[in-house]
Amino acid sequence: MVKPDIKQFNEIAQAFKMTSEERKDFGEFLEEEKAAGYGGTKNERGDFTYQELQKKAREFLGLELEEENFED
Amino acid sequence: MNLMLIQLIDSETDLKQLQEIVENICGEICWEAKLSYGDELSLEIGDKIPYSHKLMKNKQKGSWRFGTRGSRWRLYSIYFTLDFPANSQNTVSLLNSSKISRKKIRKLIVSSESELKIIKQKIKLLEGNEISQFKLNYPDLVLKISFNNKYELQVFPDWEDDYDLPYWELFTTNNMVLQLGVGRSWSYQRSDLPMNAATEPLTGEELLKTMKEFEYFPKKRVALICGYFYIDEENKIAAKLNDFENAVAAASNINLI
Repeated sequence: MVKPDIKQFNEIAQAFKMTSEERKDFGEFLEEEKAAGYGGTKNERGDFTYQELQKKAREFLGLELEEENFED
Repeated sequence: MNLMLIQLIDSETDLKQLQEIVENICGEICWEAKLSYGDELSLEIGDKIPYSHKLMKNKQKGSWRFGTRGSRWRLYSIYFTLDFPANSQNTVSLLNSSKISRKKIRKLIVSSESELKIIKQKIKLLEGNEISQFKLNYPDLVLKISFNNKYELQVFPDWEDDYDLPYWELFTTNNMVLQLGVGRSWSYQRSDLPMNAATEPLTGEELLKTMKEFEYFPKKRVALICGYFYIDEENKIAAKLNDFENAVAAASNINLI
């Protein structure tokens, strides 16, 4: 169990104003991403760095798409 | 506002409401046991509900969801042995004896300290089993979840850590989440509102909706949950207060049913 990682993950969820339910789903989503080969670079297990978690959070919440559309 | 009930745990009676909240989980089936991000043990329990999120479509989650939050845990298999009286003469006298007792034996299957590969494999034993008990033990606050009386999961709070995280959480069927910790306390709050939205007061309409949802709680307790408001003896919103402490004090001073 890696509490610093969980705390970091929690901070990202809070920064993106996720609900507790979304935070839980986001955790499942990240594991799915790791299993599908889209893991992070933090370690050999595919965990995510802080910046990667931020990017994944945006992807999970559909924010990147909205930003791209806004730019268009 | 993120509605939050926080109960400090100073005596066994402080766990009474918690046990009422979780009593309906008994009889539900745990159909998936897995590790979530951060190696949190995660159990999907009860009805299978499709994720509403588009990136998770075709996947399902439980109507009850349990997760550890970095806490230590142990999974035991449970079996019973019979203790026979030492001087039993024959089978008939043995079976008629009132001195035979049943002894509960726990054998460790796997724990949070085990190798990841072993954990992923062994926790699958829980799948397909019915929750037969969900009990927070007092005074050590060790959570014991029994599965078909065959397996027992124990989750241990760590009083030394300062990570400001709960020890475990249970998402319930009514968009609420129950958490143990931080420290010797438990909380029960909405799971469908932003986690850091606790400082925004409810509108009157939201408050009335909340009162309906919490109708099984004493009204005084609802006033406390709602924080920035309290309810007078005619069930009307009596005041909008500036801070939570004032609301608690006001709710404590009026005689609500």
